[in-house]
Amino acid sequence: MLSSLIVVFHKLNAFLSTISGELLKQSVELVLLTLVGYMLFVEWRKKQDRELKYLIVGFFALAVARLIAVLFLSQAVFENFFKLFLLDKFTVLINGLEIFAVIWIANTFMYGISDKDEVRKKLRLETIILILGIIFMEVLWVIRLQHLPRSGFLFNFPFAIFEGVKLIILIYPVYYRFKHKVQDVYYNKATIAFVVYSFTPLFNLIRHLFFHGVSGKLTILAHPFPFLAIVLFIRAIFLKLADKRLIETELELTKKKYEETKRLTRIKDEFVSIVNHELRTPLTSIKLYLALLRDKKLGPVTAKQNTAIETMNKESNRLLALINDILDVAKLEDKDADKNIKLNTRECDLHTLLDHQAYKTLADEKHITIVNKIPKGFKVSIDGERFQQIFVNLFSNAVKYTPEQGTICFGATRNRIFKTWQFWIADNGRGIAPEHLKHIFDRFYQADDYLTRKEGGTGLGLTIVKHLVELHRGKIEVSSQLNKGTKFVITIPNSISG
Amino acid sequence: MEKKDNQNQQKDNKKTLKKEAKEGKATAPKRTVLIIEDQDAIAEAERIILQDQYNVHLASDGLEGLKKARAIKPDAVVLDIMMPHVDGFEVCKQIREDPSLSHVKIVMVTSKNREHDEQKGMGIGADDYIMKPFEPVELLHVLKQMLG
Repeated sequence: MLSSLIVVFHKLNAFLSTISGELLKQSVELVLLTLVGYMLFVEWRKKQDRELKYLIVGFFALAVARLIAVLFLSQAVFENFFKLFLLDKFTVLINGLEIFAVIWIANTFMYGISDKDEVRKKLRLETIILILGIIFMEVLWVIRLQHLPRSGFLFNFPFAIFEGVKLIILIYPVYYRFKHKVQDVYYNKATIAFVVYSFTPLFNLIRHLFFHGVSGKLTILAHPFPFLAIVLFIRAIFLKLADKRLIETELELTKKKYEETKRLTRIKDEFVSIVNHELRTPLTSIKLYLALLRDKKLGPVTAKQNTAIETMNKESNRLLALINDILDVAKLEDKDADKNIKLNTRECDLHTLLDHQAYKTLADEKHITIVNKIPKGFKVSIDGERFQQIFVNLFSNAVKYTPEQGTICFGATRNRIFKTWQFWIADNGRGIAPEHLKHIFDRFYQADDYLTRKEGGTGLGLTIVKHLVELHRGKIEVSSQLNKGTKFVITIPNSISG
Repeated sequence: MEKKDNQNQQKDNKKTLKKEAKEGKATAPKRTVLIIEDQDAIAEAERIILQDQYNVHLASDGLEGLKKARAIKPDAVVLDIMMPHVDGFEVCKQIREDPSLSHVKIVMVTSKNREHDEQKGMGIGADDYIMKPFEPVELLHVLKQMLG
């Protein structure tokens, strides 16, 4: 079995080394190259890609070189054998075209991984050098044909130059790949093709340098590589094209999703804005007229009526707080909150910032003792207004759950090692059960329906606090023991940017 | 012409003041405030709040507001932002572009609570900003600060 395969292989090789075999090989390559060139051209018409343009030029140049070879080989095979010598006159052109093609193909793959302007400059320079080289070689060729004996080292030397140049151009992308440790998968696939292709000029170079251009074994050995290399190039190119298309489709999808998200965000913003307007407008009227009634601008008010006015005012304040909370959550839960909400960060004295009479009034009703343990002159870099919002939410929560004559204590410490500072607030209220603890920052979550309803609240305060702390690049933690109290600890980096 | 009219008006005002001083009336004349607000209930409440201390005029939308502002040349405008046809920002811009209204102080009253609206309002020439809902004392305070 193996021996018969070897016989077939030898016969095939023997056939390929004849002129008919060469014609067959060149014809197959011509068809293949034309097809690839055409497919690339179709692709290029859809999308004017520079890499594709370079490849088309390269593959068509190779196809033209093969076409010239096929034309003269077929003349030799089908008409007159001696006309084969005519081919000799076109050797410079055929080799020139092949070198030209290799330059363009190699640079195409370089284009995908290297500085695009550099590659363009390199390509232009190499093409100019090549044209000059072809003119020089053409002159050399005429001299060679007219003045040199048809054997010997010098007669074969121009062939050696062609093969040497091809070898250098083919090896350079391989050298580049190892020097720069290129990770591009398509470039690496093409590198294999460059290596495969380079065997042909290598064997031809050896043949022309050391065997006066005549060596049956080296000729046979050099045969299959360009064909194999072309197949490998095609594989690399079409894999890249397919992936590019996939990426483009994904990009298109992502763009559509992005547009859709933008549209929805706009709708949400408009909705929030309209709701805001529609809720605040009647509330403004209510509060203004209540104030006018209270200030007796609309006539005398009895004591009973005054109590009713106060109740209505208190309730409208609750309603306002709810609207503000909902709008705050909508704003803070936006995924672009980081970008949209700018912190007005400045250095604040935390002790003074939180030592406000308004907070004390909140606790007065329940005779709660407030202990401010923040060291005097404790300077931190924060958005003062936002931090007050954090504090108000935590403080009013503590007031809500602390029994009469209880204690609320808050303070701050600095951690110089981690370059952070901590704010803590603790109460001796009824505490939070462990099963509720992990949910307390969820919006609308309330640990105890009955009590919360009795105490009031929307279940949004702690959600807002968490978002505001995160906006300060910080974190909030909570610990609690039932019937003993709850403690919130906020950790914020020393320097934050808005 | 307009300048002359203004000068004449100022002269008349001074004369009236001197006259009043002679007659023992030391109180300064009431300043004029134009309220541009599309919600009638709010506009009316604002009028009641301001009427003791200011001459109050009302306009129920942006276009009417601009017309009245040009006609009565108020000292201050209390301007709502969200209004049909011409919004408060546009009214503010047009007042600022009108040289005869360069003295007018503008307070924007809005139901929005977004920072960029405040910045936008201030950016196009509003002098101050209050947010709905507000207490009567807030509006009076802002106007007192601006008009003295």
